[in-house]
Amino acid sequence: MDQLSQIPQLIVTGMTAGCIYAIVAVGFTIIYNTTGVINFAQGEFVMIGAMVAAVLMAKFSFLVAFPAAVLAGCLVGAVLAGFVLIPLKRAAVLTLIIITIGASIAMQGIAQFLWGETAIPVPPFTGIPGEGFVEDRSFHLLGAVIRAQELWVVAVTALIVIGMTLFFRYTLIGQAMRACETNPAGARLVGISVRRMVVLSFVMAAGLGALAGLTVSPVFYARVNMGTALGLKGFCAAVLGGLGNFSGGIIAGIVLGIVESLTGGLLWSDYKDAVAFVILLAILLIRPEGLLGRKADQK
Amino acid sequence: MLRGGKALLVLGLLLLLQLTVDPNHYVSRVLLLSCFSVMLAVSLNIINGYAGQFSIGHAGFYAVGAYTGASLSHFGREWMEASLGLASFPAWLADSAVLLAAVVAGSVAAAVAGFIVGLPSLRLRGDYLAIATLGFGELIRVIFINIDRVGGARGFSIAPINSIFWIGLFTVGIVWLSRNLLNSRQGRALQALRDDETAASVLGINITSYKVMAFVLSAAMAGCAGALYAHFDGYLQPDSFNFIRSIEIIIMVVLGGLGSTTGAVIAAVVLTVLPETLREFADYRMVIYSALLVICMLVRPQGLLGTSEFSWASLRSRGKETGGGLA
Repeated sequence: MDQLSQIPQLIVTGMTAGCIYAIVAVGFTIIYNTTGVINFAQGEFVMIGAMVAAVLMAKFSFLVAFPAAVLAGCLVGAVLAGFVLIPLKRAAVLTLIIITIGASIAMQGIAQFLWGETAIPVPPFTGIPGEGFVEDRSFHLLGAVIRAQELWVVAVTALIVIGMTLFFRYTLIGQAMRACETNPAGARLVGISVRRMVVLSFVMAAGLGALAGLTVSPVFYARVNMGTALGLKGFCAAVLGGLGNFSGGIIAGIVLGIVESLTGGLLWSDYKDAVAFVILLAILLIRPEGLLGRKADQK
Repeated sequence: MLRGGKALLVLGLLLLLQLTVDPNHYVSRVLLLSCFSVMLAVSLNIINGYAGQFSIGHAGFYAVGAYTGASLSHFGREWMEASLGLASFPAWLADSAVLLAAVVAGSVAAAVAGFIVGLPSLRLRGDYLAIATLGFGELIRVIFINIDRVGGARGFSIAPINSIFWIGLFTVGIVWLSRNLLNSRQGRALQALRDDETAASVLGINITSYKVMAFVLSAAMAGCAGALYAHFDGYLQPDSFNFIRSIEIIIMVVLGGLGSTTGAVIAAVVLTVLPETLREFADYRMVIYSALLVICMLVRPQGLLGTSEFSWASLRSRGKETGGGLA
């Protein structure tokens, strides 16, 4: 019975992690929907957001740190887009994957030089003001302790989800971006600059990743090697929900976070990190198009 | 390639090295480390280069081989000594027997893992397959971190058996096998399905079994390297088989030229020796490698050597002034 009473707490923790997986999955989806490329560097955008915010928060107010972190993410995204664009016309999918993998390792290496390997604590958005370490506000609900920062994470995720859905469904630019993946030649014929849309998709995905990073850093700390695991689990969510499917990826991300947390807390704490990979492999074997996805086009 | 005389020459040379060179000397350690890189790069080249699939979890097979081999020699040595009478043998013979048993066990275990991972490659296209192999590699690492019998995250210590002869022999053997595979019936079938799956199957090539074969063969080679590596220092740690390690192997294969065994060998040696000799370089290693990788993909996606191979015949026909027949 003792274990069962932990369930609400585990769900809250899992939900927080799941929201981040969901945002990473959204980043994948944005780039995938525009270019058809799986961006292996997506996790590093989260890392950059978290690290830049953490480093700047030590000296400046969040009014400086947050926009700077998102901007830094967008900039890195734009540079990566430049690298992907050069060969995009003639390159095989694998070439592009290797480029994004290389970029991800490079970003991690450079970040390690700039900021070192130690985890940096970040004060929560709405903590209790005080000297030194800022404690977060927290309250109890159904036996679980919920920190204010966790609500921020959920709120930011919700905002991103609604914003992205509206953007891709109703705005002209969003529709143009979707057209690029469906048929680049056709998109070009009707006057869409595929090049511009590809850059835009990378910038958006990177900006969202950075936003996710800075939101979650007060909960999980900022560390230069945080990106790989987040990226992998975000993938897992994106594939689980069906690549290219926004709502699928988001639901899968949150579910993945909760399942992971429950498995870790109730069954085998050591294998918590394996959960995502087992699910991923099972899905890829049984239903590669994802649980909620349309039939993937098999080349 | 290596018939009769050449094979004897290699054996003799390795024996000579074994008897005269201290395997723990700095230089021989670096060279032995590059042997492991060569085995890994050449084996990955079979999946990524010959067969045109995309695996980024090669360190997973390496880990399976290493841990299986290490477990066998750690937990099974006493049994082997008792039941096979190994204890009465001279030390070098007993060591060799244990090492060989570990290599066989490691290769078989890795081959089984390769079979399991190879199966999804039948229905997954490139990018999905990449993720699946990546997931596999990470899964293997998490599993080994959590098995206490093999030390968990602290690492696994066994009695080291450091043998220039065996490491050298298996390296040469794997390179030879891979090189001969290229122009064999099976090798040509793999290349056919890399270039065009539909056309290959129309020609009567069984795509399913060849894809799985590539994975099984490549994994078995990586497992062999793993078992040897486990005995090299007698110490294993799950984190030495992480994602970065897989990426390092990919970088060797890609820079060397996807599909070129010669390229894989050269890249593996250079990328292992370089960080060892240039200490300052070692810190920046991954940044530089990844930058090289990106640049290589942008400028020359087929790798530095493309699919060309070095061979004595082309060397002879071209003469020495062309500098080695690496067309």
